[in-house]
Amino acid sequence: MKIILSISAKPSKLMAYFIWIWAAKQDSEDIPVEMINNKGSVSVEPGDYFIYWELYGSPGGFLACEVKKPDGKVVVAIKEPKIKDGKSFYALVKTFKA
Amino acid sequence: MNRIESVFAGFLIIFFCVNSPASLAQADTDTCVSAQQVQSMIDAMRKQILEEVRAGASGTARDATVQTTMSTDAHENATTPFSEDSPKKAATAGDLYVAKLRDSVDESSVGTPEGAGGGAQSEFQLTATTDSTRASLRRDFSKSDPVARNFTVRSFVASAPIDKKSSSGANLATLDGLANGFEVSFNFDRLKVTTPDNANSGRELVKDCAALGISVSNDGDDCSSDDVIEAAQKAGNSEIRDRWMSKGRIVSRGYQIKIGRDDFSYYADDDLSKKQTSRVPWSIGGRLGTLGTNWYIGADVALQHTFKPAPSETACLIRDLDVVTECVSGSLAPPKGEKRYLVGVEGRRSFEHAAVGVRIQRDVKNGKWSAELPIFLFRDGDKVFNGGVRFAWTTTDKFIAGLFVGVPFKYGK
Repeated sequence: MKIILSISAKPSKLMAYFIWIWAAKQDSEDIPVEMINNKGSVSVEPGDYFIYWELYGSPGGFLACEVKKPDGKVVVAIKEPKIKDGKSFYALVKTFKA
Repeated sequence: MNRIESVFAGFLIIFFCVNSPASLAQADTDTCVSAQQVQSMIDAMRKQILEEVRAGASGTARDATVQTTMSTDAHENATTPFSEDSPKKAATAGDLYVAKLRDSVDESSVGTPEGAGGGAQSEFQLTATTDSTRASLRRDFSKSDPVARNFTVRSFVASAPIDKKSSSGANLATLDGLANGFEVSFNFDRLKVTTPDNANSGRELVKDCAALGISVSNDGDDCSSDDVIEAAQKAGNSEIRDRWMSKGRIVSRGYQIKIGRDDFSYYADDDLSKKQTSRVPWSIGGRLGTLGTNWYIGADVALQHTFKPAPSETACLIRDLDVVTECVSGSLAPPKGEKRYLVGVEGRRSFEHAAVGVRIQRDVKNGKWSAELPIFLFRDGDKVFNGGVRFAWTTTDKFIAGLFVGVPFKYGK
């Protein structure tokens, strides 16, 4: 049974960002998350997953992001990560259960 | 200018400003400061001239006579305009006498409405700029496509200055003729990642995190590129460090269409009545840029049709060939249209303790240049650079140095 995860993001001082999800099990396929107006959704089987954010922009730029299950439960949330001084890139990977 | 010339220069200014103190309240002028100040200046100058004459400075007396005559000898009734007994009568168009005291229009602020010209002077400025100096409404439509590694943004922006005479912080020295009025713009930008690996770099990050002993196996674990760089630095693993240090390259291209509205006021040259009018400037342009690991380089072009106020002048109405009834300072004609072909290049770079930018712009059509160098040194509460010192130069404004606050550093547009 698949579940639909909804992803919402709020970028600040970013030129671009990209999000991928993939299952933690062996030989899993990448699930690129197409975000339109900072919202996206993916259909996944329950299990352990990685989510990966890639941010491009100015120092201090960040992306607040939440991944929710259909019942509204937040499975992943990031608020703090920021692009550091002297850089234009920040990437973060995080594990979660869907 | 010697003392005598100063006296006569003062006389000229006062002649065009003072005879109708009541009208000064209406005069849009920075030459005629206030009726009381002008009156005290007259008294001081009268006293000074009398002293000069009494002291035997005959030249002074002659000059004073000549000057007075210049103002009155065209009139049959040679009543001096400084006479406190001069009757104040209603002006008619036929009585207009226009005197140009000075041009004070700032050429760089073309399109600047309502007499916001600053004069072509080198100066030191303290500019406290916040977002509140310009109110804006913005609506973005973005699309992030991880497969194509494209990020596209379409935006509609409507903005208007809250305080038309305030500066715009780190973006002061611009030749943009729409920078000071109300404007609506449509922007399109497409950014593409240029690093060779178009695939998901996340798997690579997981692998590198694990190799450096950072766990990403349990629910809620996380690992960032900064964690990896720091751990690789400590472990002396330059391969992993360099891999993540070198990421962050994208190229951008976009275009912009802007339509504005500027309000102007000017005085009709027949009866000096104040007129209000508005014009619709527009601009169309394109831009290219590339973001590096800690820098940005960009170039842009734009074709603009803008409007600029007519040169500022001071004019007085003279009734019955002798009595100045009203003086005004400002444009004496409607705004004029002007085309601009703008080409600009800019670079920005951030360091650990500062960030800098440089921008050079050329108006090919009108032969004007502008350059600016903001250096960001101060941070806001979120530790983001948003203040510092700024050096700017334009063909018409010459050199300006100043402080700015409330302008966050960012790469690109």
